[in-house]
Amino acid sequence: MAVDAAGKVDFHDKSVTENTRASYPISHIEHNVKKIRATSSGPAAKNVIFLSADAFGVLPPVSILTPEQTKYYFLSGFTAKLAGTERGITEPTPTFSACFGQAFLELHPTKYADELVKKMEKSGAKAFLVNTGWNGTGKRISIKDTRGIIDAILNGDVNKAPTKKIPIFNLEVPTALPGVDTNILDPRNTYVKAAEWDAKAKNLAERFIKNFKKYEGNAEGKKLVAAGPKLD
Amino acid sequence: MAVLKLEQYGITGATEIIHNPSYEFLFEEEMKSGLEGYEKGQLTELDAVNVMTGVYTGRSPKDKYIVMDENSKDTVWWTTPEYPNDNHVMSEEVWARVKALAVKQLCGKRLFVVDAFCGANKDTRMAVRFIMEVAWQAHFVKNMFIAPTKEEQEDFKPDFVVYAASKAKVENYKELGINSETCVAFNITSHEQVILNTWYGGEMKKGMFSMMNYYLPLKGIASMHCSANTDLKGQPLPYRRRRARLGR
Repeated sequence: MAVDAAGKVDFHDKSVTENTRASYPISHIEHNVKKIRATSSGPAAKNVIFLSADAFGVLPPVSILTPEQTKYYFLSGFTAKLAGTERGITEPTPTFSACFGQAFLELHPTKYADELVKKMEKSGAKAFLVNTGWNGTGKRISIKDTRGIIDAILNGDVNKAPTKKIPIFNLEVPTALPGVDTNILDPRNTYVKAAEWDAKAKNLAERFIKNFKKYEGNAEGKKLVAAGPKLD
Repeated sequence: MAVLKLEQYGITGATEIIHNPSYEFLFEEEMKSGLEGYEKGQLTELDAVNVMTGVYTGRSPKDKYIVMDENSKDTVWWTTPEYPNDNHVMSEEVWARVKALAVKQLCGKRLFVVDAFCGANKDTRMAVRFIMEVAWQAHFVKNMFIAPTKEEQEDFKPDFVVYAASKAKVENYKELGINSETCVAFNITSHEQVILNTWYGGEMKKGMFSMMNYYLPLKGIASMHCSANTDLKGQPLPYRRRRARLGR
């Protein structure tokens, strides 16, 4: 963003930074929780959703995580950035950011995973890995389908759905959800040949395994390797 | 409000201390004529105040340091050559030198001091005192942190003190063995942060977020880089209100 001498704002101008920030008091948000409750707090979360924009087209649009997988995927903090097409780069860039906020962690990441899952187990909260990225069609998962998935998590439909396991990542996925295209729930079905998914999944699994090595310095991290993807 | 003394922080000769200024006052201050460089605010057509932060338009992770001492050495997740992260080691000796630079910069100046809370829970929130020369930086932290009530202001006992000395440089950074003239350093034992040679406001905001991420999990509290939402009854909001957060 840039501002000219007259104070006119150009939000498309990247000459100073692509990272312009704005700051305002929370009271400017109409529905901020402080206006609703005297304390700025709510009850324990029922659902924890990890958002991953997977540009490899591997991860299912929604996975139901076990407590150990919750720790694993929280620690991995995987998402992917698609390089700007204007520079002709089409290769997706994976990012692994511990606990989805590595820059702000001061303790070993396993500590955050541990405390999170302890709290979740105490309150009975469930964790889901939601892929808002791409699948075998080469297109981004539709907003309608993502919306259907989030609704199914919030209204509990996802807990009633029949499920199956996706290989390599060993993720449990629903096979049908109201309002969601059934064909996308198993990402392998979005490929013309399921073997294409296999190859991409192995590549992504390798990246997860390699990234996770940094957590294996302590016993807690080492123990969680089993909750991650497996090759062989 | 009792008159604030900054000598307790080693800051002497303040020409004026503007303690917990109002938004109206800060607006006048950041817009007043005679301000130079990155101190200057510009009113935009949208009635927001625009400021420039120089070369640092984001945090400077390579210049982030934590003092290694008895308390931190076995708790902090230190960077290693094999698995790098942003938690670089600073010795207690170097800390003393960079803190002295920040304090020296703030001596004899007209200063803004903002007292605010980080964290909504009264039992676990951190009371933070921000000390700086720059009006818009005071405005920024007033926005980003929780304002104390009048009574809480009277009774404010800081758990943490931030010395924002954007105008000071670490000229002898090579001698001190640090990355550059810019330095963002934390001391988890003395509960202090020092900021040198960067104007980027996020160093204060994410600095305090990082400190919460240090202290809270050690007390058995889960901290997270996330947001949460709920309706009046404690139910999640309908989808359309969450869209922005899903990046869609």
